[in-house]
Amino acid sequence: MNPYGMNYRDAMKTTTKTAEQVRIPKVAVDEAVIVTRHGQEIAAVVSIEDYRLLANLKAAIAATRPAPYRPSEAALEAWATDADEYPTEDELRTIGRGE
Amino acid sequence: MTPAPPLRGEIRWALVPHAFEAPFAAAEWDGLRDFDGVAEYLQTTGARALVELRIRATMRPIVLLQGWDAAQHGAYAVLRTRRLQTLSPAVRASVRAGTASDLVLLDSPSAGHERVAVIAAISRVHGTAIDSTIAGRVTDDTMRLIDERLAENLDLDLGNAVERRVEAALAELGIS
Repeated sequence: MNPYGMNYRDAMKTTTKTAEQVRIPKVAVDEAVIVTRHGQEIAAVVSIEDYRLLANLKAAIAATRPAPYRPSEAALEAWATDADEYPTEDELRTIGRGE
Repeated sequence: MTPAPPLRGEIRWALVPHAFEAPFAAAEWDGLRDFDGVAEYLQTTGARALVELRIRATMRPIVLLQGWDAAQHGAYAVLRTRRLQTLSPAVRASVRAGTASDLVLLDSPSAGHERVAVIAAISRVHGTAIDSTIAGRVTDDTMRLIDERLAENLDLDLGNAVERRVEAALAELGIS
């Protein structure tokens, strides 16, 4: 189970076969063996450590949600006094003059 | 000279309405009504009655969140701004320290006054209520910061959009 409350096997559709059922190449961490069929890449064999890392990354992305927003004290003050702000005289002179 | 059409990231003066807030004044009735009073008026006169409410509006520099191409219906999404000096010393300090995430200091002072964009103060303003003069421009970095703060303010879940953009970027690089 990872910190996102999801077993890494749940993050990807996963089936388990014994080493006797399939012929697999040996792969080390940070290595991958690409399997092709008719010249097309169809699968990759990676170490179980890299598979867990990928699955956990997918689980982390899936679990990411925005934190609920709470306005800051500063923003609440800016909002509360917002309607009381008027243009200064020098600002008013710059308005409506065209380009 | 034809006025330049509004573009995203520009700062322009605009007549900006504030949020509807009871008690409501209107041309149709004397005095003030609360929400239930307006509902009662509509029930009496018919649901299709048009109420011309009087609302508060101020002349204020705004940051355009959309350009004319994205606002072809005529109304632009904008953020109201505040003069920094009109805020309390404590708020000014938090803005300068960057600890008030929902007030963004603008890098293009208007008429010499430092201003902050108020992330919570999103408004729709019609193009006819926006000055043709460009008072300033927000840098790309600050616009990206404003976008991020808007997403936080509105609790927008951008997970799917981010995933699609990452996939598109990877496909462009031939990595998909």
